[in-house]
Amino acid sequence: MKRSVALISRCMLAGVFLYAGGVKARDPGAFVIAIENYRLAPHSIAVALALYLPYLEITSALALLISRVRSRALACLTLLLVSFLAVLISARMRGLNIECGCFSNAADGHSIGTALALDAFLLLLCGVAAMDGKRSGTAPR
Amino acid sequence: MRIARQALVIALIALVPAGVAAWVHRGLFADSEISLATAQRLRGALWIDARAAEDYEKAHVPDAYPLNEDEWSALLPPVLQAWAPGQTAVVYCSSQSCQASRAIAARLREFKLGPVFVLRGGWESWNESTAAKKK
Amino acid sequence: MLCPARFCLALTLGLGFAASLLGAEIKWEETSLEFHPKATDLEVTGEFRFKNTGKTPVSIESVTPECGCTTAVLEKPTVAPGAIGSIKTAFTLGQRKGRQEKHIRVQIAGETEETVLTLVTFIPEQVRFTPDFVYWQAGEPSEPKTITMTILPESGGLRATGVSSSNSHLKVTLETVNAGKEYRLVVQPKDTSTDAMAVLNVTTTRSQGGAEPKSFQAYAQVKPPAH
Repeated sequence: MKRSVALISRCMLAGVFLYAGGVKARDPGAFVIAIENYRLAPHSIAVALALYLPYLEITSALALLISRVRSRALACLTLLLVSFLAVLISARMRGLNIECGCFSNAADGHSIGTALALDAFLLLLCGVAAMDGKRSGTAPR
Repeated sequence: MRIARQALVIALIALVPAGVAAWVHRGLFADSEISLATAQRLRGALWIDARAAEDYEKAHVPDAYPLNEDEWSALLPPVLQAWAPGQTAVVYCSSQSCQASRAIAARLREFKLGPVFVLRGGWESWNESTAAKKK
Repeated sequence: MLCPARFCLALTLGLGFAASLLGAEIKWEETSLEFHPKATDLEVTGEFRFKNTGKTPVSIESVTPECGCTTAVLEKPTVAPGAIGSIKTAFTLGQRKGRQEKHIRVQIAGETEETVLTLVTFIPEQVRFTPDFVYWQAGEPSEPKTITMTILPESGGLRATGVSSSNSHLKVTLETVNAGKEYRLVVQPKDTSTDAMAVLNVTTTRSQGGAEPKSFQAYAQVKPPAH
């Protein structure tokens, strides 16, 4: 049962990040604008992040579906989600009235509040996905 | 520490497709160029026309402000007045003289009011898109 | 044996083809010129020279500068074989700064592609304001804000002599930190309930002579409430 729930969680995580990464990779210009709305990074860093993050999401999502590298992918996604959470909380505290930019363009219609809830849910999924007791690449004793 | 090391491997692998994307979108990297489709999705952007005054008078993007280096001092104050902090600015020129939009964009970034982008394809791409919608 | 009419036709076509191969042959001395004007210069001038290395005269159909800030004058529209032609150019610097690249497109008769001539000019900055623009949001405390004005070495010995504001709602004073090198513009609005925009005009004098010194602008605004 635990393994089925973990499997479903992994599939959901992979699906969400494949979609989010794919949409952002298609239009990095829009993603730059979304990043700059958070006013945390100068323009050049925003461009670099806009070109890199979507592929990090896609690579992690694909790796999540391969049992040998599943734990690495989960670690990556967890770190990503924790970073996103910090950025969203910072935006909330500074009173920025912007849209999330989580799924591509600056006008994706998701407010900070919605994004925080989604982020928390995805972190929960990461926790559930990690519940799978079989460690990849470990020889039986 | 082990988790961070494991995540680093994935992060490094992701650099490969990201590098390819950076080359494909090198216009974005070098000049902050965005496509017309992206620019049109922006809500409340400030449009800046970097062409010569006579071209602006003939036709321009609705609500765009003229700003060129020939009349910089005279044309800049209305732009600064209209530009809200954090607002994205999109600069365009004619596709023949698109160095002008890059020069104007670079000078506008010095004011640090908000993100500044250059419209790929310039006025021509806007005009073609508007003409196509009318048909 | 080839029929005489067909022979004449073949000869004509052959000669015509050979003539087209000879065509327009232009060798440009330079297709790109670089300029490093002084701060006091108002324009840069240059000349693009070319030689007709072909056996037939070359006609220049059009010479089109990229913008009104650049002029290009063709010395002679037609250049005989072995002769040298030239295009004299001038680029007005105006209020530009930094690296400027301007193009002139030349259409030569008989050629499908235009030749692009390039002027690259490095215009020195004379004065730098940090920041260029100060603003107050509506309702923000109307505390004074400072703009630092740095006179750069390329300016040719400028000194600030005074400052004025185009809008009495935003007052400005000039403080000397280091004469001829650094000044401060202290700007303060009367209040931040009224939307107001001001151009802060700094007048200068030049200690080393040369062209009339320019005045330089920074900007200040009380922004309207966000909507």
